[in-house]
Amino acid sequence: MRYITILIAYALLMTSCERVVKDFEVPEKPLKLVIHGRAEANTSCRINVSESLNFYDQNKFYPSENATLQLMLDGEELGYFFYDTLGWYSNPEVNYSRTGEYQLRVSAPDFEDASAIFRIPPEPRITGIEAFIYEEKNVDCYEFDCPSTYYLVANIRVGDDPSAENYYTLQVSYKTEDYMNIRSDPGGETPPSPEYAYYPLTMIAPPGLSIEASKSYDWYMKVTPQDNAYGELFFINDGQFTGENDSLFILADLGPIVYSGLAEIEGKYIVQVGFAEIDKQYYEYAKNRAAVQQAEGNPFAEPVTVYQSVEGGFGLIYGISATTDSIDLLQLEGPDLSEVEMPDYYY
Amino acid sequence: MQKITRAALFTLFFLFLSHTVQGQRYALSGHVTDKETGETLLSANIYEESSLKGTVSNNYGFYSLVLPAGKIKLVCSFIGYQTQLIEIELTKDSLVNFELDPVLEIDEVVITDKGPEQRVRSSQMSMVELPVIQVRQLPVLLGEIDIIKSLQLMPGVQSGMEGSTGLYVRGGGPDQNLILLDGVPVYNVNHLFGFLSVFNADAIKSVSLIKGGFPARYGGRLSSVIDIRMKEGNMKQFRSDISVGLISSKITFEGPIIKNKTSFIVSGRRSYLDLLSYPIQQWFNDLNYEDNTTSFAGFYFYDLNAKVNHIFNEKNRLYLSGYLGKDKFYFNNDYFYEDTRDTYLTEDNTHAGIGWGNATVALRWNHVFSNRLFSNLTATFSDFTFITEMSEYEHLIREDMETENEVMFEYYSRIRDYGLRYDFEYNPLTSHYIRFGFNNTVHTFSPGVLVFEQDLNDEGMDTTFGNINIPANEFMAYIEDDISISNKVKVNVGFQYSNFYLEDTTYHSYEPRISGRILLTDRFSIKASFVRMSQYLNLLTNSTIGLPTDLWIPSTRNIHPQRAWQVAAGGAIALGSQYEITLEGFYKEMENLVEYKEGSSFFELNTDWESVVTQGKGESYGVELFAQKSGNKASGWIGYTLSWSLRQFDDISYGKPFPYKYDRRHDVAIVFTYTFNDRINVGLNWVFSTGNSLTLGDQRYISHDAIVSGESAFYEPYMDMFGGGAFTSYFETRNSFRMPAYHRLDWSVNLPKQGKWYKRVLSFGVYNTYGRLNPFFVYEGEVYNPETGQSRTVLKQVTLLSFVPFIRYGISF
Repeated sequence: MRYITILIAYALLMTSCERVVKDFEVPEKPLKLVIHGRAEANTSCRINVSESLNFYDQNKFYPSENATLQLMLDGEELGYFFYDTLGWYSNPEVNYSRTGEYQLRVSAPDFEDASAIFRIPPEPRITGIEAFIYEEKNVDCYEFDCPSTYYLVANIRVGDDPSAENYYTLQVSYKTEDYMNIRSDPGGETPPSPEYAYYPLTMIAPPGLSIEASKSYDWYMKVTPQDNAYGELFFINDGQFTGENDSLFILADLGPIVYSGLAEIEGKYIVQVGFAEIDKQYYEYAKNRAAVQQAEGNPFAEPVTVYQSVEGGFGLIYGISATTDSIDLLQLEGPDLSEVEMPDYYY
Repeated sequence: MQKITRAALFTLFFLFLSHTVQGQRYALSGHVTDKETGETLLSANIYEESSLKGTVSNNYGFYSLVLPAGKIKLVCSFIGYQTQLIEIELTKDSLVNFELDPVLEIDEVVITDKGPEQRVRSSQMSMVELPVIQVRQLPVLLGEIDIIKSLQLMPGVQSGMEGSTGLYVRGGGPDQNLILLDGVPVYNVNHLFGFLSVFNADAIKSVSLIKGGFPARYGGRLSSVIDIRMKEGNMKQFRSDISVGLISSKITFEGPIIKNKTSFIVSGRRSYLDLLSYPIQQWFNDLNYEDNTTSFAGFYFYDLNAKVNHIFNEKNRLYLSGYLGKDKFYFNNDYFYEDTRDTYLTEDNTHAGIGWGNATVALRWNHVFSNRLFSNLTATFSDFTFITEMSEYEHLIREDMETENEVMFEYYSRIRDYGLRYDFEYNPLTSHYIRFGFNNTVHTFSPGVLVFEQDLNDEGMDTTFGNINIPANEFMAYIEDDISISNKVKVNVGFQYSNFYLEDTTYHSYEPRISGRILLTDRFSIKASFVRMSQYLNLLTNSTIGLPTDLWIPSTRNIHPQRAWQVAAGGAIALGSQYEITLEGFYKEMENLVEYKEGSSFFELNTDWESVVTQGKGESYGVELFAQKSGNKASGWIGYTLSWSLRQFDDISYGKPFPYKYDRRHDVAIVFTYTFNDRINVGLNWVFSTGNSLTLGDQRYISHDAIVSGESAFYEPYMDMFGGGAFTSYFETRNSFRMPAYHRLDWSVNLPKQGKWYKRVLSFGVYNTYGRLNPFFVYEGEVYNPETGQSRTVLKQVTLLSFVPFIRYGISF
């Protein structure tokens, strides 16, 4: 009996929840060149080259200052790039065009050569926009002064080439003279103190619109080379438009402009529809980035592979063609719902 | 693929027509039982001595054999029992029952019911039969005998995380195993978050695992069939077993209700972590009585197996069996304060819990139409429910004001089945053994239901969100024939049709099955098989530790059924009477596998689970070696698997193939048991496997958005503003990193002792004897270097079970 007692005591002692922690080094892989760029027709070539970090290194930007960049168009050399600052390389003498396939070759000492292929998509065509303001009465409001909600309802017609894969971005923003909150750009190309700024309006996507890449877009981006705007950007895939004059019916919440009534609308409020055709690479990247944002802070989320278009390195170079169209809210006729047929899905 | 299917169908048709006209023959049939207990013996070998023509008893101990008229010597053998020989003059269809005498002590029985030669002769390949009595000798974690963990020691079967009951067969997922308890599917086999399986070995009679070459009677899963049969209860005398372990105890009663006619078995098991910790928690509460708070937390599991069977006559038997099991983790917190002077009272009772459990019921009726035709009708019920609940009762009295608020939140997922199955076995000729039947199952899915109830001062609210009671119907019909083409060549050809109906969508599946063997010598055969399988149920799983948050979801209009085909080929050789070696290679292709999309998890499943999953394909291939020694004293086996398992999804890693989470290049198990005498025997096993795969970041780089859209991002003052979003984490593919290899050595000593009216067994041993620090999981951590004053990131590996002794005491009356 004694040895049984000893055995039980021993077993209970040893089986108390064990937890041993052991460290081991994170495996490291050779660092690579990181190449980012945005190519738009009739603009000069600018490319940023930097170095990657080991996964567990502290975040720090290491611009590459001694890289060699060669740009090819359909297999023929267009020229080399010159170093500016902070990893930026440019060649002011070469402008991008919408014809042909570009290849960028990058080499730097101690790094594997990298290259990227990209095209600039054709210019998108907004063939027409019909718009009106829709007032939604707040029936659940018990207060004496019950404010309505106002929407800009826009039917955007687009000319699309059904034989090609087309990807678009859409942003509806309002132009205002209030530019205090715009981020200045100490070293970049954007004007540090614009006289106006565009702020996005929250859009409500109709059913069926693919917005898989459009979740929580929280970076500001250029709608045109001149204008910046904060996010709320829809990425639209090839399934949305399939021919001439295909339309996209969209609602934009006018809450930031109209608080208590249409009388507040003043002449300075111009709503701008920014529409851009992007290449598939950028669409894939954006879709991917949305998944990254979705996974943030969730330890159970499946890992996300970030899209990159650079062979032998990291990064993304994409082509974009943008166009804009403006809607002057004051020129819109008042909402007369009896004459307008709203799609059922908005009710 | 269609060509292969067509060819297989043609072969099936041809073989049905191929049997030749034979002379005067009669059918012999009967049951094979244990003489001491009356338990039926499954897979017993019955054959005619001179011609060696024979068969094996089925899952109900029934056999049927067609032989030429005349004087015959019929042999019935089963390992662990005395071989019985009967001489009869066969002039008509006859009934011959065998009652075999056990001849060996149970602790000496070898790993498989079948002897080496029988395995060589069988047309079934990729199959392992695991007798529960062998499992008792093996060393186990915490002394808890576990049949699922014993199966993990077989080649082609991989475990999940350390200590868990996960089964990954030939590169398949955990949902691709059809686990049947008395013919009823069991959807969750985990107790204690996967450290134990729900099957109580005291109530289990047999376990068989099929990894490939599936007969047509099985279907509905892609990778394996685990057929577990419960004991029927002793027909001759009452018997009880009590077993006391470190975390749970078991008690089993069995015996006759009407001797040799009706028997029962009841077996229950319960853990007592909660009971043991209760006094400690009470003491702690008493110590902090000033807080006016009483808190208790606990975990328990229990399971109950019960079975009754009745023999009406030689032609009719009825079985009713059931299983009920539950796991519960709970936390209760009660706060009470009363001030009578100021008329102030506050009371707050909070309860939170996570619970899951299975319930199964099977009612079966065996009917023997004739010596050649046997049938079994089964009605089944299966339920798996997982519930997370939280409730709070608040009662406040302050002067003239009184409020009462009761809130209840509950999240549950459930799958519930009602099934009816009818199987027939027909033995028309010596060279044919035909099985056919059908099965219909009505599923009800509730993948993620949220219930919220509130009662505030008698004003109530009751709201339910999510997917409630989605009905679906699954039908299957099959036919198969075990054909002896010659003494050397035997094939099993079959065909299964199935369909699945959910809402407005119906899927059909046509599945040819064929397997065969060629006997090159009496002791050496080669085998091959081809099967096609479909699966209409999917398990959505994020976690790897057997958490019941894994949800069963049906195939829908958007989520197509999983499908697979598998080919396997190999050979089996018997060396002497005790040694056997089998070598098998396999290749399996799977399509429509289900995974969460990148960035998704089960947190988003409350409404539209279809939008967070994606489908892709997988393939696995490898070689399995199984070398086994059986014997009265020393027995054991060496299992080795060399395999690859890959996945490819358009929406994951941009379509690049990546290793499956449990892709392991090498998997080795060495198992050895030795019986010194009737008072001591030992068990030893050593396992080695390539480390689990893991997704780790390769590198980081400045993000595209920070550069192109926000060029200011890389300025130091702006780093904080942009935070981690300014940098992109990159990994090439999922699961590209390997954890260190896994290996451990376990041993156990069993000390049986026969008393006058009882038998007791004291067992003790150690799991992971040499304290190998195997990774349970890894996480990112930092190490500070005092010389440089800087920290660097390392991976920290957590080991849970490095040296775990156990003790178990069992007594039977």
